[in-house]
Amino acid sequence: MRKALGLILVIFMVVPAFAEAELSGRIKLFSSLFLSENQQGEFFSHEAGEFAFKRVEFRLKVQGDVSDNISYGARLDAFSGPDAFFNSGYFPESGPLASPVREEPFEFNLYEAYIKVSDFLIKNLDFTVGKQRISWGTADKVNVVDNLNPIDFANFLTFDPDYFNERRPQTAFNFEYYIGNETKLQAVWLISRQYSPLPSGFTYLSGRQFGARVSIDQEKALLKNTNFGFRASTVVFNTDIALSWYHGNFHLPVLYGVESAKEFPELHYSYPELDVLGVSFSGELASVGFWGEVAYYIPGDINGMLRLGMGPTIGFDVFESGYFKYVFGMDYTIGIGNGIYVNAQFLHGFFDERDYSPEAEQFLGFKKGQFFGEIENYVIARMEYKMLGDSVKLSLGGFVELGEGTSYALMPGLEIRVKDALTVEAGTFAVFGDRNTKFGAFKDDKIGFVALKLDF
Amino acid sequence: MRKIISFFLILAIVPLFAGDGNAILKRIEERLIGEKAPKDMHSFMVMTIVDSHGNRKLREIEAWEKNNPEKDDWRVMKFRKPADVRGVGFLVLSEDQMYLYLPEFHRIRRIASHNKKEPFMGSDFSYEDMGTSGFSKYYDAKLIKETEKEYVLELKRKPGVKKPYSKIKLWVPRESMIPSKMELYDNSGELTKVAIQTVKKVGKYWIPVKIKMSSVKKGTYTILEMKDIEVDRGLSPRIFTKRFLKRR
Repeated sequence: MRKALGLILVIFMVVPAFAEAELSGRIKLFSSLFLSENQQGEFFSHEAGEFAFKRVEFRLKVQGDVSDNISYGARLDAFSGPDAFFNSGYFPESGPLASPVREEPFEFNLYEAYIKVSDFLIKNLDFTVGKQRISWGTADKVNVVDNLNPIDFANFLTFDPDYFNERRPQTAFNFEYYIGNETKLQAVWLISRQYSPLPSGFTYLSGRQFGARVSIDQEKALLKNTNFGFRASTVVFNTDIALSWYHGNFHLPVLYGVESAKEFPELHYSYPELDVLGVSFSGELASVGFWGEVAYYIPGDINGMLRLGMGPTIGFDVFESGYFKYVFGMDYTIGIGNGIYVNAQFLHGFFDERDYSPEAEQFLGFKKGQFFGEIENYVIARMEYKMLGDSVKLSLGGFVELGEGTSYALMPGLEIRVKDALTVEAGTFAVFGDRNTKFGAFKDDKIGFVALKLDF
Repeated sequence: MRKIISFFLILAIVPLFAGDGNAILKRIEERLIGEKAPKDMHSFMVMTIVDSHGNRKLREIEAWEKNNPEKDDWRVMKFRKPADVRGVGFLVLSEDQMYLYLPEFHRIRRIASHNKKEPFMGSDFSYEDMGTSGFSKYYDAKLIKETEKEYVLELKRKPGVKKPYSKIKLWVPRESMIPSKMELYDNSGELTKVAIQTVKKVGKYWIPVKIKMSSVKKGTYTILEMKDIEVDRGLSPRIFTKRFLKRR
């Protein structure tokens, strides 16, 4: 690993000399604390004042132009934690080569690497190949039509605001054809299925509920098991609109079977096929920004299965039919002082939620108010105020979960730009309300965080 | 004969003395955004933001502009410094069609015009100040003073118009017909900002190459300098697109 890192660093140091590449990056320290005690939480168990998450992050990005029409970009992310690994009661020992990787948590990731060719083969056709982020949709973060890149569910639960609802770049062939100045046709082919990174311990938590083992169906890497998408966008009556179609798979696992007849109960998961037809728009009316996305999710056929003890196996459809998810939002700046920015959205269907068949609800226990559960409504809002020449930003974010019960989260934040490109950020994530809701389950896991970021 | 010529000269000048500032304003706009303005322009902007304690911050922006006499001007700005905003792009196609490009997420977001009054990048310029939408659509002008070298105009906001300044005072040298000084008054009629412009001839055009914008109450100021100005390069309309915004 160290050799690979060294080699890549050397490449990054050498390449710029030849190709006038631009090097940039970020060093970030993120640390969060539990502000309250919760010894029997559904997800976390902790004392008040216990560290929730500690991470040092290093990004290195290189970008350049080989010619007028060919450019490239790559970003490497490295993560390290200050705590030592204690594996199964052993002392933290390094490997035979004295590498600290086995004793210090360290992860290394090629976040993106792509080549972009403008006017590829024909005029006005751009072709981007490689690992890349292709973002669709007009909403602020909670995009229901943005399905080419899977959600980073692992980072979602770090409560690091930089990763809230972020999606991971994927390896793709991306063709963008421009007609005039405002119309674009896009075709994307992803060379594999897409899977969201899940948080550490996910498998354990999934099975714990039933004391069960977890099995996951995996598709073969066949050409037919690859994902693609098409999108057409233009401007009509001064409003940006787009139509999209995604064909691929659910990025998050779907529970479709429970078997308790074996020695150990078993939970069966898969990543079924999924088509999503989407419409999105954005514009402004009387200086108020507005946007919306409506997506129709069409799951592939997936047979559910329940076998309890020696009883018969019950079969059913996990999904009965297609279902809608949508989001509508607006933003405005209230002219007080330097201006208070206000952003509000109504969301029907969080990224992990689905509309299951009544049998799946009955036999597999899907309901509102749980992760991977039934679709709920949310009101998401934030306010921001910048002062002292943008050196200080105060923010108050939050959302209300409107399901069987109601919970609400408050996320006040303070961002201080100490110097150009050096920022200190602090905030909290605190949930209140009904414990039997998806986010209400975190009501005793109130978190405070501090982050320091240097961009170079 | 000389008497007759003098009579006609007086006739020609009287409307100006009578307060027809709007005619002068039209001439100014011809130079700023009209027929006598550059058809397009490419430049590098260096913005120095100075707070009330004298602390300085630098911003660098590459800018492309296209003059559309019949419509709103088009503009693209790409931020080069500091590092945390490097690559951020801003595309303006009209007063109510603007886009922001965030390179970290490879994402273009449409942004609404509600932030016009707010500070641009933490400077003493507002988004509105950075625009080139002209004055005569929104203000009535009155000539309040005239010397051999310059005109002084007072612009009053037309009823029902949504513009942040209720009154603007312009000092306009006759030679360049580009304001050398502007006083900007807020809704309560108080002086809020003062802009001092250095104007230079680039090719056949008079262009403001340095603007010092001071916020009177805050005691802060921002200097915006334009460097490596190129005019009438025949910039392609393809530059003023979301496609170009995503390019480095």
